[in-house]
Amino acid sequence: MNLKIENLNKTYSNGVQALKNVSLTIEKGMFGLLGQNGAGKSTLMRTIATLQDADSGSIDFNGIDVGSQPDKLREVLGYLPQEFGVYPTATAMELLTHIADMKGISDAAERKMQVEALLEKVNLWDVRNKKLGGYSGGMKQRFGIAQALLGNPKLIIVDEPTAGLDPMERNRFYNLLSEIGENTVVILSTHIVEDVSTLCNQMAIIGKGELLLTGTPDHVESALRGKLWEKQIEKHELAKYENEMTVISSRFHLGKLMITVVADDLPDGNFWTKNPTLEDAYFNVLSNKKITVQA
Amino acid sequence: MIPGILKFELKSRFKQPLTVLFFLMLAFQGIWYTQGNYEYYVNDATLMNGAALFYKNFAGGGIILIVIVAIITGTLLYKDIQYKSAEFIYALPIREKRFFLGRFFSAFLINIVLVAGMFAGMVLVPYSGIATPDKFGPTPWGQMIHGFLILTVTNLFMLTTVCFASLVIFKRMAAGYLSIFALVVLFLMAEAVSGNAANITLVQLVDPFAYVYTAEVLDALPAQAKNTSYLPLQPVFFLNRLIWIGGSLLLFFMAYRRFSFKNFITALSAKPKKKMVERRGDPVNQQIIVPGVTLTFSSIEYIRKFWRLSILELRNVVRPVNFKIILGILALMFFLQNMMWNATYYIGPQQPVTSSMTLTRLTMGVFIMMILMIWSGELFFKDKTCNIWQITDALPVPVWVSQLSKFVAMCGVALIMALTIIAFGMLSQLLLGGWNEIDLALYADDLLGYKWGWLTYILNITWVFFLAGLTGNRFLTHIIGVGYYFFNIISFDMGIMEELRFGFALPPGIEDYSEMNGYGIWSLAAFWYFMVWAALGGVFVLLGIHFWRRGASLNFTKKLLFKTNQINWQGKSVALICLVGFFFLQSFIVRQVNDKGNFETDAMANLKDADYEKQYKWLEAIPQPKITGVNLSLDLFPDKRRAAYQADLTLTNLSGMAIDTLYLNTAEFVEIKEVLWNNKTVDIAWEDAEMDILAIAHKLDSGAIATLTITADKQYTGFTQSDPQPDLTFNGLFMGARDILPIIGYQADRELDKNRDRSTYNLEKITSRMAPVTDSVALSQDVFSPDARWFNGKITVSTIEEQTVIAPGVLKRTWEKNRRNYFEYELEKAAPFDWYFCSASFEKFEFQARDIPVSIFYKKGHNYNLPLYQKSMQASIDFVNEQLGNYPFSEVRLIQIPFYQNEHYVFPNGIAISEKEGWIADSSGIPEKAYILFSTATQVIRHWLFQHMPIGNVQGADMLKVALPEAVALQIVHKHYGEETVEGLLKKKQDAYGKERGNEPNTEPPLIQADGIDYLEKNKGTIALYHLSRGLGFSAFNKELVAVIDEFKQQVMQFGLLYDLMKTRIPEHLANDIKEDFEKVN
Repeated sequence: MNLKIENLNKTYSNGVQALKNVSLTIEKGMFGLLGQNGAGKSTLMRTIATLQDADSGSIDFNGIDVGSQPDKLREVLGYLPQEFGVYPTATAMELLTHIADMKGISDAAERKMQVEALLEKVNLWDVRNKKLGGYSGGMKQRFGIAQALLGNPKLIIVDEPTAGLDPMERNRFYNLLSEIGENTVVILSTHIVEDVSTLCNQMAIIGKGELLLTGTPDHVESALRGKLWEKQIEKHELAKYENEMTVISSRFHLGKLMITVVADDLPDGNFWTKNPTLEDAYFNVLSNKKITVQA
Repeated sequence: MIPGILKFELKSRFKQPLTVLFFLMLAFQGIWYTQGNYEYYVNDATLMNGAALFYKNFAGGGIILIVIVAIITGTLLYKDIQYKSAEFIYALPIREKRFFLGRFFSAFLINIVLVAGMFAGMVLVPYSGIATPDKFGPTPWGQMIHGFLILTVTNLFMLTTVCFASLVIFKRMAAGYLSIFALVVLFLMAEAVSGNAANITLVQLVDPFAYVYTAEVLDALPAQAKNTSYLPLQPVFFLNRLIWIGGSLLLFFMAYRRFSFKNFITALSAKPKKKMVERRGDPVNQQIIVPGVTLTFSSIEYIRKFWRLSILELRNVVRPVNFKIILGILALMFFLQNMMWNATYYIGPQQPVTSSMTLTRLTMGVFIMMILMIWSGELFFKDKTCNIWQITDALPVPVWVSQLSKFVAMCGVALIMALTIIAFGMLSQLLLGGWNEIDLALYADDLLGYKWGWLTYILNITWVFFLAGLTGNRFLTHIIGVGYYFFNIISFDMGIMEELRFGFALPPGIEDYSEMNGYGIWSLAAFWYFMVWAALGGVFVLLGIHFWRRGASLNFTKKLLFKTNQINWQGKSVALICLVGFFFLQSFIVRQVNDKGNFETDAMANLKDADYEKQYKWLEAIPQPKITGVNLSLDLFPDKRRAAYQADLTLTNLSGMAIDTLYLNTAEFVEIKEVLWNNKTVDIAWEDAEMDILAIAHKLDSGAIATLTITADKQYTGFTQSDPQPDLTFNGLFMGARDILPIIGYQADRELDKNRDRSTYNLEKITSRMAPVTDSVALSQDVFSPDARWFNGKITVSTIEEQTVIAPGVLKRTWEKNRRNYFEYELEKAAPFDWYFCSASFEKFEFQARDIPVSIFYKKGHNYNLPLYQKSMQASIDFVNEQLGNYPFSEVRLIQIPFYQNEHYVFPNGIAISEKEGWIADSSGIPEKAYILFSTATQVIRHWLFQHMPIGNVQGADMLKVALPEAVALQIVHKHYGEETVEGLLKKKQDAYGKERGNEPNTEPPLIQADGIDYLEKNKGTIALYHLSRGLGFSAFNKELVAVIDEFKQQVMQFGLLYDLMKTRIPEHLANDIKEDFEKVN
């Protein structure tokens, strides 16, 4: 069971090239797609979810050609978009039942059982008969997950599911997603590195429509081992360091500016070694991209 | 702060290209509506850029203006909610009241500037190329500014205020739209009922735009004044403005006081949320196992799903409170209209018959259709509006299931609407005591069928469905959908378009239901027109599915590709079949309606008449014989719309010279089978089939008599879109003899009589529609039939077994043969050749009036006012015998006829009264009783007058034919109901004259030269003659009348003779008034 994307291109009518020759193979399990806002993640997700046509290229899921057989893909798809609304006057129970029906669960008893189980699963059981218009952002997001899981989909796409959620809500998602990734292909699109590092066994980084890196989080992290250096500097020194070294990120710690630099050797005696994280790898890729583009 | 807001809003609005488009659209409307008003004011002297035309534009506003104002106004206040910018804008250090004022004045100012586009369009009318330069005068700047200020600006203030106030109160954008549309509906209703409203002042006050007032006042202005006059401002205008603008001001202050950021921002979350209790700290229940399911994706399952979804979508539409509120408001409007306004055409309220109840669907039709179209658009785009499309579009259901279910749901909503009208119609009938009038079949036909009922609603929904798919844009769908709908109905209403086959979903004849004849031929016509649009509707539905795109919008041109799988090849085939069917049915209609001669445009008809005059005017000087006797054998086949007949016309050469050629003008649809001249076959020497004229070459010496025998058939084939073809219809056919028998010589009444038309076709303008009294040829002609003298005649007529025929003369005998009813009538004495025949299924009511047997033939069930007609006939015959002389006939028949033609007809021994004149009137009030007496008495007096004085075919003829009988009949009303009641009737006539004279196409003549124009003789003529009779005293007037008729009984009468005699008898103090009345035009 895998999803194969080959040479996917998409340019919008305003000239923005959202996808540039993207090729990717995603196996069973959780796959994290990292990228900044506007990197092309949602375009790629929508294209896989049959909601948008690519200009060229192909997507294949278990023998289903998404371009020519979108109906077939929809039969095995669970999709949670980045932003979505609900019918405000419908209840969670009603709308989930309706979506279950649309997903092909034609047996009313089965439909009811699965809807009820998912409502329990996402902890909306108590408010199942309340109108969705009154749901909070987190509740709505959990509703979104529930609808994506209806019909036991084989391919699940979740686009920025934790954006705007508080830590507790985010934790709920992690728990949920970790469960469902066991027997399906789950694509998690996000700009939050922690989402990927927590959940995914495969990942890719996308920037300005291009696929910049693919691999496992461990592999991506370990590639930087022994090449990351950190130092505390004054704010006014940042420009100097940026000119002289490859500064991939900077952050404040206890009111002081800390920079992270990539170099094969210790840049100077005041730097100390830093254990690489996925976030560092992500910044490094983006940083390289920036350099590449500028070049 | 307010200037800052104004500056920002104006700048951001006017830098948008759409705003420029709006401005141009309004400029176009200014030109378009001006042309429509010009067509309405038919007088040759009215200029296309006359002030009156512009005043009407300013008052009416027009649908483009309304739509644009609706789009712009509410947005100005609501945009912060819509775009969620209120969260920070409302937190700025600004004063909320000033903010409100700033936004209000911005909206008002933007509206004014945009609507100035209409002003600009009107200024540009002379340069638009829609007419030749002679149709334009100097631009009436003063009047235009006047109209713009007192009508447009005030109406814009009202619209802006109502919209803002609704937003403040309801905090919903829809409330803003609906408040504006509600005002429009009120205006449309006022405009619709103004034509025959009993209390026009009330209607003028109810109209929020003051259009009814403006139109009423301007219509009454003389033609020249329409070009230059300022709108006269009478107290009712100020009262109207006081109500609506004063009311708007109050509303404005209320909204101003109520508006606050804190309150208005709650619109961001439509209702205060109930705090939902949920279990915290138990993020996801790990123990729950989600059970597996079986997925089914078969075609049968999709069909089942489709129905389930349709029901769900229907519930989604009808469940919200706002649906119930709107339906409740509509139901209340239906109910009130049925209870309070169900006027007949000519008098007050009528019995609660079902046709009156179903009429609501027409008067409210615009509103119902608009609501349905907007709801449809909203439903079709619901997933986009709710932003759930990314979920629903990725579901494994075909587009046809999700979209078609919405379409079906809207059909269900439309059905609820239709059933609501039925329910409230029946409730009204029950409350008004008309339960026995409930006609379920008619309810079903009118409200569930395609005569502006449920199926018509569905057709309009298919149009929106198609647009939704095509545009993929909710806003465009609303604008184009509703915009085209209004364009469609207004174009036909204003006569810009005439052929109904170009008007989507517009069926013919829906306003012309006859209690006697139902929809007549329109039943068939409406069916085929519906089939045309149903075929296109099928295409719309299928293309709507085909064009609809899941997910993000596609390039528009990509939609037009047919390489999609949204509908399968069977669906595409059905779409193709429907499209072919549409064009086939269009051509079928052309064959049935146009090619078979059942319809021609006004321009075509005018061209034909102009050509006739140009080609055959010379015939006027050619001596022709007169008809001096007719024996007619007529077989009527109403069910086939056919008449077969043989007529022996006795022709006498009274010209004083030999005649060698007889010219006959045949009626349309007549097919002459055989012509005999003195019982010998004669050939048609020459024929112009296009002009329906033929010639027979046969010599007839001066003074000689010959018999022309014509055997012919008349039958309508195909069907019609506008003409009920009443002379051959299914029940209640009413035909004149000249509808089947030829007219000899030049047919002068075919000449165009409007000078504007005459100019268009290069014909010399006329100074009068009738010949002057000095024209000895015209004076010698009988006004009823210029080619005939008075004579006796015999008529044998038959019809289908369930019908009875009423014809001129006394009924000699009746018999049945071959399942047909035969009747033999014979004239008692020589009479004008103005014969009519009627065949219908009748009930009969008999009584005597002064020993004269009177029979009333009426439609079964229409027996409400029989006693009143009985009394009226008795009183009228009594009056004639007492005041004028013996009633001329030994028996008389009073019959009910469909309303298609004139209100009344008289012929020897017969009176015909339209079904809308009083048969089903609610005659509990004195005015209604008096009107029935008046209309009946008028016909009885006509009987007497027409048997005693041949009327010359010259100016003043209609004073004798129309005004004199009415003036004398008013004496009978006076006797039975008093002067006050007569004054009531005269007031109506005065109002009608005042209103209609403004639309005189040529020049209004004084009464002594009256030349047969609807508004003049029966209104001003009757009033003047009645005042003359009052001045002289009724008895003296009657004596003089009898005397003058007696004195001139050997010659043709002309009005001048009567007037001159009366003038010598009137008291001196009245002489001047009488002279003013009859000899001058004020």
